[in-house]
Amino acid sequence: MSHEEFDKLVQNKVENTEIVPPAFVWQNVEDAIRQRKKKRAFFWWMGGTAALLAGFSLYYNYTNKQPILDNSLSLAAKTKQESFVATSGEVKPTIEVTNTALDDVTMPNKNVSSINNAQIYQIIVKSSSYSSKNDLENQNAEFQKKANDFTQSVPNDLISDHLTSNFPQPSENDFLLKSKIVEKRTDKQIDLLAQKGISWDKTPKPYLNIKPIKPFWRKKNNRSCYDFSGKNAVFMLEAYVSPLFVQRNLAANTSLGTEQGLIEKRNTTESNSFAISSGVRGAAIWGPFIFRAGVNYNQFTEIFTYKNPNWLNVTTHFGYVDGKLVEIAPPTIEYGEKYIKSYNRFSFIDVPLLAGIELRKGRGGISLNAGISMNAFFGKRGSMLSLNDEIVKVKPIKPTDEKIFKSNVGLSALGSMQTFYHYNAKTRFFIEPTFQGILKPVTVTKYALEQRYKLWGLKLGVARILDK
Amino acid sequence: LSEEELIRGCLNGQAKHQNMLYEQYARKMYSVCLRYARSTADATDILQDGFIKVFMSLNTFKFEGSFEGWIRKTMVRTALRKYQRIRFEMEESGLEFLPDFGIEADAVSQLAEEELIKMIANLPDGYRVVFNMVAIEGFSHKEAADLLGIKESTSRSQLTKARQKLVEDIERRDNDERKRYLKLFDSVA
Repeated sequence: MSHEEFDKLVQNKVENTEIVPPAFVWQNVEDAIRQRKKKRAFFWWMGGTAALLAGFSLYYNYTNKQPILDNSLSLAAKTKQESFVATSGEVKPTIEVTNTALDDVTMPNKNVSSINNAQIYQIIVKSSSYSSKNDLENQNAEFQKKANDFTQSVPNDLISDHLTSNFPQPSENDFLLKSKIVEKRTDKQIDLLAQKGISWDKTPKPYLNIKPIKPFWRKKNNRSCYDFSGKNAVFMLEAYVSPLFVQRNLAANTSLGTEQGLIEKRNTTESNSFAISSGVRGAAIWGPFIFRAGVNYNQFTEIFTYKNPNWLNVTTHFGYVDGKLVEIAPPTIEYGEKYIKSYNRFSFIDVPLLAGIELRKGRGGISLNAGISMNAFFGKRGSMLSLNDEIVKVKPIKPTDEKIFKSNVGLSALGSMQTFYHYNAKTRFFIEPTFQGILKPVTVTKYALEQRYKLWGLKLGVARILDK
Repeated sequence: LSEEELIRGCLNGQAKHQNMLYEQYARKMYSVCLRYARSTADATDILQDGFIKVFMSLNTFKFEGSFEGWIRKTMVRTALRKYQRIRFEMEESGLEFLPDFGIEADAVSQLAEEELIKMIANLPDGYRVVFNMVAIEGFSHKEAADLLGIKESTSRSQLTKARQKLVEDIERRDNDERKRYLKLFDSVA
């Protein structure tokens, strides 16, 4: 058998042989394909993110940069690093100004005589960096004063060229924060200057370093809970606002023997409306005991609506004729149903005095309070129906008008349960269901009815512990 | 599903198509790998790496020529890369002029395919690779020499030696079989 015949024989035998491979091979192949796909996807994402970041960074650098101008060069010097020819001497220093944060701008040594190539910079700060324009302007004024003092001490021939008015004006929403002299040199440059006998402080202290105002709400207070232990008394100020539910009760004045009809008439013509309460309180805390005093304002409205079915109005018209007062036209008579609506408003200013027990745990706690409230002012206005179906004023205007309400409602009983949570060590938010019951009727004893009020509220407030 | 549809499905990342493609060619390629590999474990490694390469470089297939041939080449290249440092025995001149083999065609035909593959796999590295490439895959000596980084004459001598060794193995096996049958016959008689 020739060699070629042998090869052919073997080739035919084995070329198309099929042998089943182990099952795990496919599993491994499949895993590897998926893994590589994931890797590819990951690299695409990374690449995409990097490209986006780079794009954003470029955009930010070229659009959001505060203009820094080097008048000795040109108005277009906007790059972070600019080489320039010194105004005197042979050294060519590189100015490095970090213009993204004012803190990073280093001021030169106060020893002005050692500066031979100072540069004036104007820095315009984006308004969005500051909490308010006032803050910025206050700082600006302070800076301008110091900057002026400084520039006056610099020899005129040194910087006069730079104090030109070529600086651009800040845009409408941005503020010109300060102009200042900035110079910073590398160690190598300082060494070169030293060789020429020019001294330079290697670590120049900021001549003026105004820190941007950080918004107070970003301040982090690590202590989240106030430490009451070891203190005799802790004082606290509270402010709150509360929706009110007003419960009115009308009863017959038994001493006068008034008929019940008026109660029904008033209940059908008057209805409750909007009611609110707000106030401030001072609190003193001794261990678990808490005492509060403050000023509270309650206001609620009742709507009076009445349709008079037999309304009649006659108007007569008089005039002077030949010096005599005579009727000049027939009387105008109007009659029919008249619809009357008024908003009866009651307002109380009270001085509450409360005593309670405060139970604290971690950031939160509750306090149970009880006390009295003394009325300082009782305001009222509006209209209501009288026993004779007449419309009477809630607050008497004429001396002859019937007086219905007292000028002071006197004492109330108070009760509340406050739940609080410390936002930080000295600030707490609270929610406080409250009850106030006016002890005596708000109506005068001569009025046919006894009108009483109970007020239910839900105080939502903030408290601040007054401790230095 | 046509071959082109299958390939395009794989290119689109369809897991189903990838599995179908594997199932279609894995058995054939495993036998190729077994011929090139020193051991069964190496053969599964080559098959695995080869198929990963197939799926990853499928986009380079131009739809020209045989797809099976393209996969086979990928498998062979993977195998060759695995045995990059093959020691080729000293070149001997004149081997190509050896006389024909005395072995009969039946001796080869009667061999089971797996058995023959095993014999090829048991050849020394240099013999095995050249024999597979030239005698079975149909590479020219020049192509094989280029791929293996050896001289063409080395490829020729490796092939001749591989044939000789294989013929010897087949003959030995044939003799063993004869003896076994005679022994069996004697015991029955």
